[in-house]
Amino acid sequence: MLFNSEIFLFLFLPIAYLVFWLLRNKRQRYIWLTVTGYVFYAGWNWKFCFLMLFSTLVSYSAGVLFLRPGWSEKQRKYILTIPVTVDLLLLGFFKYADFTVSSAASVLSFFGHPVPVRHLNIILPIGISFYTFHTISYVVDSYRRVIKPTSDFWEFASYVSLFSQLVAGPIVRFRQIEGDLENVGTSKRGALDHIGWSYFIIGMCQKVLVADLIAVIIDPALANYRQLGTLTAWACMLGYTYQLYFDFAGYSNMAVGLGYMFGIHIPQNFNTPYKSDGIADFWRRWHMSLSSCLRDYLYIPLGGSRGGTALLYRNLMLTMLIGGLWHGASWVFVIWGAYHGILLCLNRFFSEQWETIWRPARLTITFILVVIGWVFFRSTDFTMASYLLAKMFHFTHSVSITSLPTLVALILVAFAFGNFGKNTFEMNHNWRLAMRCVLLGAFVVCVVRIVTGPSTPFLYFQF
Amino acid sequence: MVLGILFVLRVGATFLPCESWSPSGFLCVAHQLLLPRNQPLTHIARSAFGEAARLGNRFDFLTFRSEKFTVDTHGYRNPPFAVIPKVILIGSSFSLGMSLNDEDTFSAQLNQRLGPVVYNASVWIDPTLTSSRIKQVSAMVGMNKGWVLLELINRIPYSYEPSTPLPMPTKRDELRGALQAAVSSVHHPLAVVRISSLLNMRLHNDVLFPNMYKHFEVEEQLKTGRHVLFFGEDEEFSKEYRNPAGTAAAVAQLRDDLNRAGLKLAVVLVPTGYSVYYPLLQQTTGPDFGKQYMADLSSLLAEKEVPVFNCLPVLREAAANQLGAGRLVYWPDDPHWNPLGVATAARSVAPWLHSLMSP
Repeated sequence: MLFNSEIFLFLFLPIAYLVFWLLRNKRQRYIWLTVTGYVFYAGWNWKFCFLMLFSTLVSYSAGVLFLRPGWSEKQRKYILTIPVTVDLLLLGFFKYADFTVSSAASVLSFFGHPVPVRHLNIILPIGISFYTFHTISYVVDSYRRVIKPTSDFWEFASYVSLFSQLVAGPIVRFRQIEGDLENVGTSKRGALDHIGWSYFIIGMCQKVLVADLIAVIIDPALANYRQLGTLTAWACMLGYTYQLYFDFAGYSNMAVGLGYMFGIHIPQNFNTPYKSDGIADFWRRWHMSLSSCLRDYLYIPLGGSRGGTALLYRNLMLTMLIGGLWHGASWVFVIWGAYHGILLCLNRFFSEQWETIWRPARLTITFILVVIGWVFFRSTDFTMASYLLAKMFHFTHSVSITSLPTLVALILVAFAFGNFGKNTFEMNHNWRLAMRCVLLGAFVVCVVRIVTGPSTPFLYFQF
Repeated sequence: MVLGILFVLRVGATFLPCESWSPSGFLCVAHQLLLPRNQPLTHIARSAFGEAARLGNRFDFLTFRSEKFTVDTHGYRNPPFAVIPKVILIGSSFSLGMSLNDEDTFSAQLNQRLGPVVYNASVWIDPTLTSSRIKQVSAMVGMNKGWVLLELINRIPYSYEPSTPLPMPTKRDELRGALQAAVSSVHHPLAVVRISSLLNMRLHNDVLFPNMYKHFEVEEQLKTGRHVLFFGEDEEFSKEYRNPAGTAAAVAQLRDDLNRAGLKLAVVLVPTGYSVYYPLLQQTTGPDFGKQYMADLSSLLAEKEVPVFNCLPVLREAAANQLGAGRLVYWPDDPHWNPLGVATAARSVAPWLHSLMSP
């Protein structure tokens, strides 16, 4: 089920919302949130609900064990290791098994030992990368005593399956919404609705009126990437730069808005990342929930910056390589991660010199470096990536792509909002009547577009 | 305020550079129509137009016509029937009668010439031949013995699947269909849906935004200079030779299966528009593979003693004769035959079918 679908907007959401606020106590609302989460997930494939339930049960059990006093440190480590291993195995099997097998076969073939490969053709359960992060962060935080695990199964189940952030984030840690979940029984209907709707509609506009419109132009053009010339290749990659941002930021804003409607504050996921004046700054602003998770659960446990310069660079590279691989089981994502790892290392190494550069130049250079990185992110393989990069940096003429003027216009609009506009967390959502009317009008326009328009899933669903 | 916005969008849409679209009569209601029901149902689309023009967003090719589409209580396209049929027509969208009025369909044209003996049980193209649905239909209409007229499109390779029951809806399908029908009966009349459809089609006009279905149609020029649209797949089919042995074997298996149930099988081969007009194109791409395929399939079926009628020669002849007068036997904006093409084929098929039915 998509946020930008009729069934969600006019059936699922009204029922979920009305029943939630009709229920009177905390337990009932936890159960209802869990049920809606599973129904939402079943809209894609009901069979994989059992996988999510299994992951939930394992992590919940670990939390309950942590609550019991008297465990030794060694025993606590066991309680930590088992659920994390189970989650990682599930993620590894469903997301990386085919990739591992084909990569191993390629390596063997390279060394003169070709082996026949039989792909398992495993279906990637949508959102598994996100909800395993939820459960792992819960167990790790319980182990670290950052949070007190809950003994209420429904509270934990509602946290894992919260439909607003279930399939594509933001990666919300239990500690971030623990308070809201505790108070879910006493929160009042309508108190935050106007803020929720504001976030939701702005997110929907970002998705439907910017990202999707760019996508319908650049997708066919990139499908025939060999026919692109320098200018059209740049136009497509700039288009993709904004498509990805407005798609994912749009989704995140819709998730935040939905959270508000149910009395839950979902944290910020994007802080206008194309305003970054350095790569480190970019990663503080782009997919912030993932960046902070990678920092807290990978970079810092690896040693962070504590072990000297060489270890610092090693940790940065490892974190970004794994971060790249998290996005998808493909070597192009690993290269994308490595590219950003190298940029982060260079940023660190030349940080003093970098700060002396005129800020507009830093902004421009950072933006261009990010666009180049997206070439790997968008490419289906190295052939496409190398072809696009060659086209972008070696001038060649080409025939125009269909609707190029529209693409340019959309890029300019996206540029204005994405590079200079406020992000939703900087806005005051207590709008006046005129602005409310504008939002309502924008919502109607989005609905008109999606009712019979092409169905477009969010890009981050694939991760 | 919402109504105001919708009004502005509706008016705004008319200024976008694209012809006024209206939903294809059959396509938009297909899922509601092809369901068993208590009463026959007639749907009239007053300004229907061709599928190739719709997909290709080729408003310059649109040929508007009225489509009357009647479905009987079994969910098949037949006006109310008075007699027990002697022939069950099974086939693709050609014999279903896409883009045609009830009285212009292949079964109606045959009935005009043979008396009301042909029951149209055609559905969408299904490349799987199986006797289970045919037997079901024959029991349903009370035809214990008689002929099954199988219409085959030359582009489709058919296979035989004795164990695969066919697109006969299960209870679950029926429920799903009924639900869809209920939803769409609420959905389609809504102003927002109509405006959305209009606006989205106009936006994807290959100027403002690319048309995603453009590759479905190809434009060709006839020797007279007239331009027509064909399906891209039809053109692809004609570019290389395909062996019809598999299809012939599948038909023979179907014949044997039907014979055991007391039914006899005859085949009518229907060409795509591209195959019909291939000799009349200004530029051709090579050998006439469409013709060769149909001739070979006819021979193979004749060898297997399956009565077969190849419509290609009569349709090609009619196409050539009518072209001078500016008339076509297939729609210029749709891959299907038009009333003239159907009548041409029926005029030749009817005597042949009559001779088969004669004791």
